[in-house]
Amino acid sequence: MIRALHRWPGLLALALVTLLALSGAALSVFPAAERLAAPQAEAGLTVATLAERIRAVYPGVEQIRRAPSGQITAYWFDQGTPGAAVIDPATGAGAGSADPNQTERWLTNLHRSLFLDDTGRLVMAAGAAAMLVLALSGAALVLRRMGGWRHWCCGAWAAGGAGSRACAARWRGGCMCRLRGLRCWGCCCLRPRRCG
Amino acid sequence: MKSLLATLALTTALTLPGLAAARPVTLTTTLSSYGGDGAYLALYVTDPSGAYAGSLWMAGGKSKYYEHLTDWYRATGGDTAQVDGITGASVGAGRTLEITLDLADALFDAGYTLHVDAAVEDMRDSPNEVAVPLTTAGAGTPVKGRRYVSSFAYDM
Repeated sequence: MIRALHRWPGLLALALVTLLALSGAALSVFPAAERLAAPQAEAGLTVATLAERIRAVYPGVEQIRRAPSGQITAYWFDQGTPGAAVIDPATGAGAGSADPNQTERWLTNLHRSLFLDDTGRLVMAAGAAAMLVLALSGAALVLRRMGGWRHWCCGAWAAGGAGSRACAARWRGGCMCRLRGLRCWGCCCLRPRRCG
Repeated sequence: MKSLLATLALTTALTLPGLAAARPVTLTTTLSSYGGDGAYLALYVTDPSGAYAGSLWMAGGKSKYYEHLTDWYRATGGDTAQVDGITGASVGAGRTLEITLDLADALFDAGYTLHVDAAVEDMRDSPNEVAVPLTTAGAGTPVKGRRYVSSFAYDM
């Protein structure tokens, strides 16, 4: 029953879930990259000081925004013309364009809507729901085969391998298993002990 | 067609009583290649004192984003009834939006100003992107916007 629940949605959603997962994985790199690239504020810098610095460079500043990555963006009007830039907090001057990265924008549109606007959003939402069903039914399958949460990791390496049966008898106590030179450093084994 | 009729109805409502004369006006907005998603545009008119007089067109279907059309939003309080029936799709970078509607004669050469507010996802909001006085002499003269609009013109 669980296997059927895992197999059929899995086959149906294969392409969609693959696309969703790969584009999502690629997108997840950008916030990390932004964190590395963003000019960070020195410790103890107050909002007032920062605002003062930015106002000295951009007198028409309208809004200052801090992203979770620490990147500070200022928005201003220069004689009616709107402008925006990433700010170097040390000087208050612009340190780069505030416009979104082209690759990221392309990936975002692929990931959220397949370039199909609202229709695509619904399709991707269905893909995300399929992913949830697959993850839960997959976890249930692993649990049943491994015989409990504690064997989640250890069993996976040894299952079906040579000598795994002898080893399997000793898992019950919770141990570390070795197979074909690979060691599963028991993420779930409470009292690690070498066996096999 | 339906939206065109609604446009007619609304813009005719801008006409002062007794001055029902109106003429078809074509508004052409060409966007620059700013490298972003589709832009939301609000086209509206203010009277000689600068007060909001009425909306002509709203390009962009999701009202939750209208707050980024800052000046339009401030003038109308985000009232979507102002753009009921005169709403269309957002306009992509480098694309042209062309709408034809009947504008009351009383709006021309009387100090009324046509405004365009623009906003793009994850990019700088640009209220008052274009502000052109409505004059018969100024018709057909392209105006450059501040950030997203490469040319805007009204033709009669």
